[in-house]
Amino acid sequence: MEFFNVDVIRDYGGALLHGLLMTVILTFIVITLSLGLAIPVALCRMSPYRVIRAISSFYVEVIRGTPLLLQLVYIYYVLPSIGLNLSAFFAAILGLTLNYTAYMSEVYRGGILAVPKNQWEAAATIGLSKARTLQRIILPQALRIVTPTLGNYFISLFKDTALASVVTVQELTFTGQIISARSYQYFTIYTVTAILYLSVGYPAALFVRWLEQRTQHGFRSRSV
Amino acid sequence: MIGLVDIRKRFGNHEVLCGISETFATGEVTCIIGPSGSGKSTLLRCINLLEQPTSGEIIIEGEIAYYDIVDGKARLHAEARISKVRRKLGMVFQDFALFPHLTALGNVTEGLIYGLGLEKGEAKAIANHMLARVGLADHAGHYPDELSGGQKQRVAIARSLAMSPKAMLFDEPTSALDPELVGEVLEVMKDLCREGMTMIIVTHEMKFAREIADRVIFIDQGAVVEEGPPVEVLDAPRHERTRNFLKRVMR
Repeated sequence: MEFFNVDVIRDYGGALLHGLLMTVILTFIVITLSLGLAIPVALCRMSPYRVIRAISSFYVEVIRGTPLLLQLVYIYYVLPSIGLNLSAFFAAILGLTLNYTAYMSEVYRGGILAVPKNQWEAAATIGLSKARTLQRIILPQALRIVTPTLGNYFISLFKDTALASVVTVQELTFTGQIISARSYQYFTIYTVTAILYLSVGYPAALFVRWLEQRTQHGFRSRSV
Repeated sequence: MIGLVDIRKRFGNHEVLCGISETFATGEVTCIIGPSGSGKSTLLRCINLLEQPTSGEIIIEGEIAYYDIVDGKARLHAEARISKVRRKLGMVFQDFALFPHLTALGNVTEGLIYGLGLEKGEAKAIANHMLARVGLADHAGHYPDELSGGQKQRVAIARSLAMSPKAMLFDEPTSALDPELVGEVLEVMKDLCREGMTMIIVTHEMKFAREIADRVIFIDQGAVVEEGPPVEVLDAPRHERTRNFLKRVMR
């Protein structure tokens, strides 16, 4: 019995590449949305208004306290019962974005708090409003602090998109499951699937490491 | 130009400032001295509301600044109004507090563009002039971590001066500097003094205080112990506490 069946790849290679494409698309849409949305969520968590703080904290804690798998299933299978029908693709986007936004907001919050207090004070003495200070002085420094951590989230999101298969999105893992069940070529299909993940994931990891070094190198030391 | 009326500041149960009243005239150079923990930095930071006094009033150019007392409670003014008063007071920090992600020029233009709303070109022209004034014309493109401590502090002074303040507050401006770099910062401050700038300086540099100050205020345990011209306070202190303090720092 041969383990690796080249014919299977010829027959199903296209489908697997299509699955990989879906995985990459999911990753990029979700990372873009989360990177942007997590900033306002982080700011809400630090709001002087208690109600805003409470709502945003509730959201973050619910997300952090339940499995991502359950969140996806809930959005796709439970929300229709209250009249909210989402396609599999949008359900996956929504679930992954809600999840990653919550985690990334905590990263941003940590980054913002890590900027020394004297930066706020110096900005206040030269007439910058709080909002301006945040935009011009605090966030640019916080972003450099959180870049390595966000890079790691990017890598783990790439793999977490596999969970979208539970809501029937035909990304790479789900495609592999379907094809291998049909052809019984588990060894070949899942090996190729793993290689496809690695062929994108490893360069992405290298890119994140490069970004990390670049921001560390370019990080102008705090003026202390 | 600056008046403090019975300023008190409490952190928890600890009273850091126990009712300080002072006036600072236009063009006057005042040095505030005292042991560490005496409250001198806190007092300075109350003047531009980096610390909010527990009670008391601050008067800037004849107007009650930052907050009104309503039913015994301080009600803060709107942010824009506070900011307008703050801009009249330049502040120089012990640890420079430069913006590390901006060049020397960027540090100086920041307030001009985003605080005062000037055009970028105009802001750059002013900033270059200010950097030249503190002797750093050819360091405009350098980032803070490419500058020495003395140069950083001079950029910080230029950043404040660019806002055309009515007075300058200095919070131990040379305390974080290597000894050989102290001189260049003090020189810039002496220039400001010669130009008639109103200055309030918290400092440990007694020699400098004697040279530059019109008036020296000695603070201990949150209260003014004694004040007067340097020849009186520094050379012939009347109070035992002042004498003890000076004996310790002069050694």
